[in-house]
Amino acid sequence: MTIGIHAERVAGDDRVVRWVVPGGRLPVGRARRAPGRLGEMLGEGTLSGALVEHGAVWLWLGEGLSWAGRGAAVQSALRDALADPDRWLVEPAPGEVLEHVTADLLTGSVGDFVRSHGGSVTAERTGDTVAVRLGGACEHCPAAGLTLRQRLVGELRRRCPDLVEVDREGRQLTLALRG
Amino acid sequence: MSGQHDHCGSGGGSSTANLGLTRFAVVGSPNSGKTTLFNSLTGLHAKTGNYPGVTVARYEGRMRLGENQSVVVEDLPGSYSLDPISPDEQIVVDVLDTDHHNLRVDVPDAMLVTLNATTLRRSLGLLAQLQQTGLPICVVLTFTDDLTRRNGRLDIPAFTRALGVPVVTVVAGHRDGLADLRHVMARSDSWTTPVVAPPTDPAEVNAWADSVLKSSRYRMPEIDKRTRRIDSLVLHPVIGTAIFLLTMFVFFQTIFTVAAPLQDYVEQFFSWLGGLVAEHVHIGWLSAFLSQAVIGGVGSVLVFLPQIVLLFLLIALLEGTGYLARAAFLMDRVMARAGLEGRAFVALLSSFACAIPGIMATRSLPSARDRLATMMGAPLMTCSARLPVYILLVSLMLPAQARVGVFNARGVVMFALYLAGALSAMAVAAVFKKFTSRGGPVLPFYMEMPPYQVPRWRNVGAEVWTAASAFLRKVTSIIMATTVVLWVLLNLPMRGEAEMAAAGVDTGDEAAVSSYVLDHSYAASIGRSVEPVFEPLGFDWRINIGILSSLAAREVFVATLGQVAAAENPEEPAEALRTMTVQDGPEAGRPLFDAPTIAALLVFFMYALQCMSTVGVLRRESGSWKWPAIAFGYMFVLAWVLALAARTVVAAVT
Repeated sequence: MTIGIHAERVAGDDRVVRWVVPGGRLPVGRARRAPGRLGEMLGEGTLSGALVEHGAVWLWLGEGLSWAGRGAAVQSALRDALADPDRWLVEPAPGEVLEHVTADLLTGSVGDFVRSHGGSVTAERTGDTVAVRLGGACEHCPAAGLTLRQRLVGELRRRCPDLVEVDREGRQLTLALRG
Repeated sequence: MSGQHDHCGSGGGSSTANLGLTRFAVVGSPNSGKTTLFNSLTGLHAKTGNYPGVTVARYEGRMRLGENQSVVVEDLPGSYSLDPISPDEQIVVDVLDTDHHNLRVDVPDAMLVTLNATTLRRSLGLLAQLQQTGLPICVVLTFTDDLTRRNGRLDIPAFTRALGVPVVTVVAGHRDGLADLRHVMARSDSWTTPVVAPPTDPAEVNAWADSVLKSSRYRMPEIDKRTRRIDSLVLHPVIGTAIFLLTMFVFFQTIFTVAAPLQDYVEQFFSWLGGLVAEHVHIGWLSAFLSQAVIGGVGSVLVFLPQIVLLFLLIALLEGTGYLARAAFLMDRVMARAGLEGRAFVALLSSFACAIPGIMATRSLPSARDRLATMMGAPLMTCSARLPVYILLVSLMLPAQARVGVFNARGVVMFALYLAGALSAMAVAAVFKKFTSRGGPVLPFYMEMPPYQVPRWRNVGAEVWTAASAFLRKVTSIIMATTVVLWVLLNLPMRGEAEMAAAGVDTGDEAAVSSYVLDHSYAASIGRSVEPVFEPLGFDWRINIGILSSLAAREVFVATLGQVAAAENPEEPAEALRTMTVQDGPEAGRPLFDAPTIAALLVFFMYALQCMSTVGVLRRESGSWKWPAIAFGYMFVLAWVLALAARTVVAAVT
């Protein structure tokens, strides 16, 4: 059975590609070592970083390289490496993962929704927690808290099943991943 | 009809006026709404032509995107993949220039790829291949209304993100999607491209498609309740078969009963025209040419226009409602008896219109043996060119009021003729399959079952128009030309009055003169020269010349008889045919068109391969003269032997 993966662009950052992979195959966190060709790419600097979320692997390309040139090779290296999940070394990095996933959603679907209502939304990481804040038209909207929770938390939980709400206070929501 | 698929290979379809404009190619698998999209973009103002060197029809049209922006849209043939197995698919590969050797046609600047939302998994494979070409792509998602109605689901923003290209939803019949698409098309130079192209290995592509669909939360549509309920009856082995036969029966009854009054109008028009000619044209030979060749010959074929239009209208309706696919599915069981599969039935069914599209439709058959066997059988299906011949002969044999039970007897006989043609086609295919087959893997039968729907009138109209205009083109070109040649042969050599007087002809009696000229014409001697072959069937030289001329196109048979009849009795040509008698030989004096002879003629036309266009297509599709020669030979022998049998049987019964 060939492992199905596909590449998605990350808005605002040309060097990183978010590879959607079958969920739950790898532990979540920063990948330090990977088997096969992917491991070599990480070692030699073709890839400068790798972050694993529940159903995706974020890969950063080394300085001066382009996805147009390296994409195909990385694609097959990643597919091969995923076939051998035991030989990955992934260090927990809950704050980092949550930060990237949240940012991804805020530039994407959730952000679009908030902006379409004239609002704005920002996220800021402190250690292992991420605080999300609504602004703009949402600032004085009584439904804002509810909307934010439903939309963002719903989407986030789909991407990160380990999500927990640490604190909720008006227009601000503090989130973390269960360790 | 052969005119529909012009095979004279007339040059490329792109005109110089379209040079320098941005070109969009509409690409997609069959049934993805590709042609509907193309029609609504170009407003049906498409130019058709052929691709250089091949017979695949090429459609392109211009559309305005804004005040001063025009673009060219080209509709490529439907294709499931870029690994070409058929000439159509080869065209897609050539036009998209995947190997960069394209010197023949303009390479598009961008692609609109239609994806049917109800069959996404299958279509994504094609999209993955198209993305390898490096051309900018915009996905046009169709049938999303159908997807929702049938409880399917697709998260379109997530789908867009996973594909990395713009996705526009266009639902047929709604303008909003088209407006969005026009906006997107106006900015084709800034379309997003996937950050990393999909893989190329087939297994990896499948896995890629699964991954894309999973993250788009795709849920396959269920077969909708209405369709399922109808299908439980229509696809039922017993009830379904009964419905199928009933549908076909009603089909032929309709063609007869509805077309008859319309045909009368056409006839009235031509007799009015004949009156005008008699009144105003006083040059003897010109008047004769106009009344006999043009009105008697071509006019007698044009009378069948209402029937042709009805035939295609009914086929388009059956197809538009989704019933045709069920008929094919139902026939898969029957076809299996012949060692073939349901797809072969689709090819045979297309042959009802014309054997040429039928033979071309065999390209969808994965097995070469099945293809050959189907090709050999397809010309036996009752094509629309046989229709005028059958109608003429059947109406000579049976009066209009004749009934079988409550049904019109002519309609019943027509139904029987169509049924016999279909059964013979299958029997022949089975025999060829048996003789060429040396065992081999049985390939699975796969067919798309579209949901039942109200046909789109625009598409039905377009299809009928294509067929009718192809028929008119054929009438005004090949049939006209053959008729003129025949007229000359029927009227030469010129006879002097003295000669006729010597032969005892009353030179004052116009009918007697023209009948003498006819009997001693070049055509008569040609017809008489083949008499030894056809005499056992009861044919005389007039029928023989009709059969010989029908080699150009079957309808010419009607035109020839029309000419002969018009020469003998210009006022009542139909009456002339009915009262015609055998002129020479031991049977002289017998009515020429008696029941046994008509039966023999009907059977002869059912089996003989009198269509040079079909021979040409067989040659091209099979790659050698061997198969068309075999087809022509076996069909002639079959036609002759079975016509003799029919004649003997009918003569014994009546």
